[in-house]
Amino acid sequence: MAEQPMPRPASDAKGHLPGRLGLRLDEAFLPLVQLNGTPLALDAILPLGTVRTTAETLMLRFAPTLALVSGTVPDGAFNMVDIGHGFTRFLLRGVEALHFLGHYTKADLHAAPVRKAQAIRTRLNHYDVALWWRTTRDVSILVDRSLAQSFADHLRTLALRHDFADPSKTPRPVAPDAPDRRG
Amino acid sequence: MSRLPRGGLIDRDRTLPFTFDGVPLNGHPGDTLASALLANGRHLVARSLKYHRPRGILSAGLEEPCALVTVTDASGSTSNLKATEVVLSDGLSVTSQNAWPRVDRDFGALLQLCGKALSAGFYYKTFMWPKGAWAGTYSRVLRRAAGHGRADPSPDPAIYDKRRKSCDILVIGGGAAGLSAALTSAHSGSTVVLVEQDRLIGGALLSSRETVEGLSARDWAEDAAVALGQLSNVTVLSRTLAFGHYDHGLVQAVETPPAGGSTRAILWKIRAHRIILAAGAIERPVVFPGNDRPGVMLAGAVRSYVRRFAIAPGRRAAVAVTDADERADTTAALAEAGIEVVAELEPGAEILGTSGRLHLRGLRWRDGGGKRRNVACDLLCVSAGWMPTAHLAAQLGARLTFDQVTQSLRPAADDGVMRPVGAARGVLGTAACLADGKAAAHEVMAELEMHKHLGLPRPDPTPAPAKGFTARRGRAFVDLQNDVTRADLALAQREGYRDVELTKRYTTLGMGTDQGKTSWTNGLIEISALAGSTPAIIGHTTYRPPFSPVTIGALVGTEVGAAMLPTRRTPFHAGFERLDCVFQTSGSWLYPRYFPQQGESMADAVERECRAVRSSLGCVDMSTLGKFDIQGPDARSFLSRLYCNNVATLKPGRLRYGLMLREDGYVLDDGTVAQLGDNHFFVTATTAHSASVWRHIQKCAQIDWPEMNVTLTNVGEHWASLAIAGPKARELLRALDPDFETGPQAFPFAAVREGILGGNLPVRVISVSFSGELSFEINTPAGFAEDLLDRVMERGAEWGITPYGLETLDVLRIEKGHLSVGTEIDGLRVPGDLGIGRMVSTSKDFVGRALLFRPALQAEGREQLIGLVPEDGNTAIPPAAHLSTAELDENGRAPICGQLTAAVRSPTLGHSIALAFLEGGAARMGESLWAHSPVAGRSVRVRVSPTCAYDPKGERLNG
Repeated sequence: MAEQPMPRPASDAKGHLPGRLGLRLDEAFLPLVQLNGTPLALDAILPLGTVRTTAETLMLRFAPTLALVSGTVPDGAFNMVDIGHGFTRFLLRGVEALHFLGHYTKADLHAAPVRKAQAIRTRLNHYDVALWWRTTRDVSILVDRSLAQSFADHLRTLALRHDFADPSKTPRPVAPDAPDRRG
Repeated sequence: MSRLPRGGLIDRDRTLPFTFDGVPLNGHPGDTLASALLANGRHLVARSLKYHRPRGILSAGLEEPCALVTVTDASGSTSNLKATEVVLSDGLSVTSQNAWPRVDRDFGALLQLCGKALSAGFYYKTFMWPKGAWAGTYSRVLRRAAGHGRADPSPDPAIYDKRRKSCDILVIGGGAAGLSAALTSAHSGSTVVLVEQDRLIGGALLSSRETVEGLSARDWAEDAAVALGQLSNVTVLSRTLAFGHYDHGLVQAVETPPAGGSTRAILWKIRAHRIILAAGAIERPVVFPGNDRPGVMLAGAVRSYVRRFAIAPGRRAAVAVTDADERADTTAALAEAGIEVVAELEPGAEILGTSGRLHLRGLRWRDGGGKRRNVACDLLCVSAGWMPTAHLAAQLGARLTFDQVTQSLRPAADDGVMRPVGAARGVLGTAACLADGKAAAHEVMAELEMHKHLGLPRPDPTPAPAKGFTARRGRAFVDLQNDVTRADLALAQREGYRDVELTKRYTTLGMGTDQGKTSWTNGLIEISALAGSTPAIIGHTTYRPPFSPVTIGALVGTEVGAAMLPTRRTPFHAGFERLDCVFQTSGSWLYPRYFPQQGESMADAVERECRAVRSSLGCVDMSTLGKFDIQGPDARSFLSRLYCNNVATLKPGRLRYGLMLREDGYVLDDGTVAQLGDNHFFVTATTAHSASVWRHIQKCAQIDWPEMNVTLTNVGEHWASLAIAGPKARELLRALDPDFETGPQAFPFAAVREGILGGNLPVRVISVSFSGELSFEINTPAGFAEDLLDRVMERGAEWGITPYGLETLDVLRIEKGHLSVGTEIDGLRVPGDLGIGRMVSTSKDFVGRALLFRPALQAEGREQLIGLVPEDGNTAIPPAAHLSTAELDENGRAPICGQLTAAVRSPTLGHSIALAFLEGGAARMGESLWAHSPVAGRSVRVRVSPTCAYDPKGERLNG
């Protein structure tokens, strides 16, 4: 077989969002397969609600009986289905990236379990999204491909509504491994 | 000018010009509109709602009932803003309301001559006849006369936002108790959000002369605010009004950022584990004749204007404050402003009335000894005590109880997640509020297991003074915003509107933009006195959000116009845009509707598209169908249970139509089941039901039949699907160079093939047809959709390939009598009703089987799907018509025996056709009926025919 064509982008996201926060939104194709398996089998490779990133593999697990894998697929009694074209991965980058998203997600991105997992599947206004990040300045967002353009437009709309960050409104979360100060 | 030469929390280095009723005035940063007006000597700012009486500024906060104005800025005008809440900004244009031609010379004031005629219930009693005049005349005139302000009809160019926040502890109110609670919570490590409606943090501390921890109260508040702002676990939201309290610790608040920012208002949805309500208290006015004149002000407001805004709101002041300490503090504040105190009324005095036309000129009263006194004054400071601002505590349904000791409605000390503290529970005094805030914070943190139980004592509520002021008879206003007098309340009692909810609606007590913040407690005391009851028994009306008016823009946020809801685009969207497609929303999808050529109407385009598909070749986007990958050793059994027809005998490479029922036996959805491998199936569902079918099959797999070894994957988004349809479809498929056989024998109808097109494009091709023509649905991963479309359009040009949309798809399927969700599959039909009862398997179990065979669902005479043609072969059948055996009678009625689900003009057949449900329809072929359409205003004679009007033998599918 000759080389497959390049997947076309699902949105026009490429470059900085408007507004004063200086955030940058780009789309990147993420080849993904869905691993279907028993909760026990999947627990063995990745705990529920977490992300694992290595040089070869990205694994996300937000449901008991399935995981999303990009790259090398782990061994195990899994059933695999290619779903890479069903999602669009956005990269939101900038100092306020995670805090900006946190204003609109139903889940509290600063809650201790989320900060520790650095990944969550939640709803951002009307959009179902999966988020993961290594730093709060570089956040990956996974949305349905059909919603990609609408979602990018929505982030632009939201970004326009922000002034330079007021530290009192965007408290920096403490590091996940910091000692718990609660009495 | 009434501005004091020094003091206040204003920036005297800068001047902010603004206009009031066209008169240029100046203020300073730090001013509210009310303080700026007072600083310019403007007390008269509005006219009252009913009597058009002159009204001034009563308070210094959101409880203001009188000083409602219209503010115009670059983005338009907003009416009914309280002058006490508007932060002054450069260039504001402010106009008074409810006055014509001017606020100081208002013709509406003539209504005052009507006296008692304009009492409560005036409209209902007066405009009773002639009956016909109500809708045409009275209501129009009254509508014009009533209400405050005028809404700006122009579009609002400002932008709004809605945001979310979560925290351990939400503190509402930044006064002494709130700051104390926030600091205590924050220092213990909990995440804290502090919301304060004011621009500055501090509440009553900002106008207090007390000291806290060796600092002036104002400095302590400033230090506390700075300390909170520096903590990473604290968010301080000033200028933010918490207006609604909802289940599970959700509070909604609206922030109004300073002018010049990107957003006019932000709606915050804050979810907290515990809420500390430190919203303070509202001062209670004194009810006496003439208590509404400009110049009568709440004592706390006077202190605030003097100390915070450096304003002398008068020259000669009388003081009528029940609490001795506050009376002393008020006279001290007046002295600080150089205002002469001409009278200090002791509790027990009887206030007889005031004088003055547009402003207070004098006060008459009888002292405790019965001696009649009067004094000339231009400022009267009044206070009958304090009312806890406990509205948020009552919004979830908890009742406030009237406390005889504090003479106020108080919230329960502990109501789930919310804890009232400080003045919000009747605790007055700075030291007591600080202690209460701290104790409450420890209490809630102990509950959240963030702190050990310290058991700090909570201060007791502060008793109200034993004696108040009395008043003689006269026009004494209980509710200043709605012009509700004592006499109105008495009238309501006499006329039987005794229940507190009835009293409110009959008199309008507690209605309006202030929602009775200054009037309700006084009203309650008046009502209980009139009824010979007690305030505790009378109770209060229902508290509902919003606590104070909220701009609708903030509630809407970004969800306007095209951004109201997420929009799904198919993978072919960009390609179809290049083909000049007209799109339409279909559910959340933006779906191709038709593809007009130059100068073509939609009807012309649809006719051309239909003819192309029937005669040669068309292509249509089918990507919105639900698509599910089902695998596992039990996949075949699983599908056999899901569908009511036989799918168990399906062979690899073949496909079958499938009908899915709900558990109650009604049709849920139809689709296809294709077998890709031994234990591997590819299932489709309709666009409209894809989400519900996905939920249904997941529920079956996870809950109903967990023992089945089957895995489900929703691949609807992964696959783009383009159907090529028409007599030339097979030739086009061949021209696309697939790596599998495409001949009629090798790839017959109802088959599926996986392979590669043109050497590099992975596809899954299904021979299935919704149009009735030979058709192949070519599925390819969504990222390759445009490559597929380009190739189809390029290779298909040889046969004049014509893209078509939803409109043509509908015409083609109606010609074939195919079912559509929402029209034929409408949730009320069983397979027999749809003419496909014979598909239902009698030899297996499936979802819906038990209830499908209920007698009622198999009864004779049920509505059944039939086709219709015009009896004369020519007349258009009107859509949405009802079927009847009779003509309409003289009243436009006829007995109904069915209704149309779809009607179109068939370009292929050359006449109108329709689908309809008809009682016992299958047995009535050839019968003539009437199709009555009240919508179209037409009745057409139709004949019952088979549902399939085109190629009934299905010969064209196998081309």
